[in-house]
Amino acid sequence: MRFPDFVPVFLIVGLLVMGEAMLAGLFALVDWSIGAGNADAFLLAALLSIFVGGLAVVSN
Amino acid sequence: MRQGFLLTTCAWTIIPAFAALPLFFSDLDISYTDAYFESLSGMSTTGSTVLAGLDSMDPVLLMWRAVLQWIGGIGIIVTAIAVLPILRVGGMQLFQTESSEQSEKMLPRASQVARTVSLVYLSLTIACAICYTLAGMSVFDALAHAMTTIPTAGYSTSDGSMGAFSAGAQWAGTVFMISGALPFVLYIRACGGHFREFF
Repeated sequence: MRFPDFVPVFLIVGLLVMGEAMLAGLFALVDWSIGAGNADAFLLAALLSIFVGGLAVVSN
Repeated sequence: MRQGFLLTTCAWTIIPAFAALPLFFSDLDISYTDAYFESLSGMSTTGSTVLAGLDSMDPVLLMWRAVLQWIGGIGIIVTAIAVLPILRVGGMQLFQTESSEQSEKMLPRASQVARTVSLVYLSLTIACAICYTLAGMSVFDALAHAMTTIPTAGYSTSDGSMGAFSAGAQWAGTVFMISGALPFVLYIRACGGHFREFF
């Protein structure tokens, strides 16, 4: 497989990871609003995901 | 087609790796291996769990597990199908790679298939949640269990699983597990008046 063929795959997986990051961010907000104590875990996960997913998208 | 295989493999291994992070960073105090197992088990709708003490667990974490199964049930790839036409990549080929449904092309566009299947999936989930609530579950339990019943996955909010709930809830679960196991194409066709195909 030629290299350019991989690009859409990275792009789509990156977008999906960023989507998951947004979901984690939403859960962080909900967790924080009810005071369940794991908001920081969701927020950290969201930040990591959006960073890596963003890198994959930007590298395109 | 080869890209479809690559994307499917990447999606099913990489997305759970990131979805495991909230479980890993949470106060559950589990290793990343356990968190990845939990996440992959959820997204693949396997339903095996390494967690105990679900009854006293943070409800947001329980809902996160349920959402992972719900998303896994509809398939990450159906989401990708909605994106692929924008990128001018053949989404229908990917749908055939991912899905066990060996149906002919029943709707003209892959994005339309994704939209219709998603609508059926959402409708079934809402109906299931309503039935669970009527059977005596709390709204939270009903929603969480509905999101794991339709994809026939099996995560629960209780260590006793469905055994912790009423017989009515178990009957509702049985009916909706069968509903979720049927090919969604049948629902689409039923909406078009082809009810006999159900039987």
